[in-house]
Amino acid sequence: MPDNPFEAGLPTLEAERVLLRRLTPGDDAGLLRVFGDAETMQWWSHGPFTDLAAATTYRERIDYGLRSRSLFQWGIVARDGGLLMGTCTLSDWSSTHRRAELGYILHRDHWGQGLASEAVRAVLDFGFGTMRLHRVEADVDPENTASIALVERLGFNREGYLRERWWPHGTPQDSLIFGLLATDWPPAP
Amino acid sequence: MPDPFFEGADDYETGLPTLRTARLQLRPLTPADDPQIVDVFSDERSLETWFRPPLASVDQARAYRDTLQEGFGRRSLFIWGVFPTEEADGTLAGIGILTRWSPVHRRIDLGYYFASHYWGRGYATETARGLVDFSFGSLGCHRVEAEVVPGNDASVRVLERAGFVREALLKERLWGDDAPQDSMLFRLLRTESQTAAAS
Repeated sequence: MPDNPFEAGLPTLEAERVLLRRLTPGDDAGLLRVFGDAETMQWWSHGPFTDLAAATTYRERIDYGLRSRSLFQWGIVARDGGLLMGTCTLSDWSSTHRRAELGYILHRDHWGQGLASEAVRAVLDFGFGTMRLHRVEADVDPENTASIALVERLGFNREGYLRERWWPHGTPQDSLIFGLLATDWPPAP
Repeated sequence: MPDPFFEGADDYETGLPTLRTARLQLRPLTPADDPQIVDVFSDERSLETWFRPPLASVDQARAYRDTLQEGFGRRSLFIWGVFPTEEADGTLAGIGILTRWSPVHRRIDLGYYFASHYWGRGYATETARGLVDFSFGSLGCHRVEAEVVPGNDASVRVLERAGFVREALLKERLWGDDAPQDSMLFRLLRTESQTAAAS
């Protein structure tokens, strides 16, 4: 078991219909498509990108997060055709407390097909497996019913309602916090 | 990138402001404090709920202060030494902590740790209130969070006296004593705190 699962960079994870891999400069246009779409971004912690420079800056910050081992963000890419459809993230990694926070986003064109679920499962397999996490948590907008359903299907437990925890669009926003332990992974079929 | 409040200050000892409450001075730790840092962080009773290894030498105290410098530089960790004015000058009773500051989301985490000799005097509550005032007042925060392990009733009372509200029980969120520990998440909003009346 490697002490540092990220020694050789961000490992590529494979699922049935998607790959999860490190983002590269060639992905900037695809990132702008995902993160520039207002409907897709309604549940994110900030508003949509308005230009390619924003996407480039975002990817560079992801790279910095990888180098400093604080943020692991994979591009979700269709195996068939290579389209960048979204990203999946483990952030705030604490190796002391064996814990990280899950995030993900998928362009609305790809909703409703179980692709986000597939990507998240691959990341959780990696997190609980190779990273030896004990706990993964997720912070979800209380009105984001699709994400709430996704995390609950994967076995996350709702642990609290957190008031005014975010300021995504200029006003305070509540969130729900969910937790999932290694002992409960994978979920019963 | 914007650097609210600290505006480019890169030295912990001169850049972290000194805060004063009724009976306490909160200030950056310096090399002269190293022997007391060892004393405070080798107190077995206090360390029981701290979940970090003790500091056993001034070399380790110095290494600890290096992490405070690094954390200050990254704006990710702010630690003050707490010095009671009713004690002799330079008497370190504990530390006050602000961490995980998000200027965008106007949120920060609060913590504290005191040597057991100084328990029971209300220092933790006074420290918490002082750090809350600094967070809402100077750092522009809207929400302060704190985590406590269930069973640490003294710490729960500190937070409740400082106005915090319990929001969640996070299962096995901390790893301490080689086993997972639950933690309770407490919050205080600017609009809920007494500071709202003053500002």
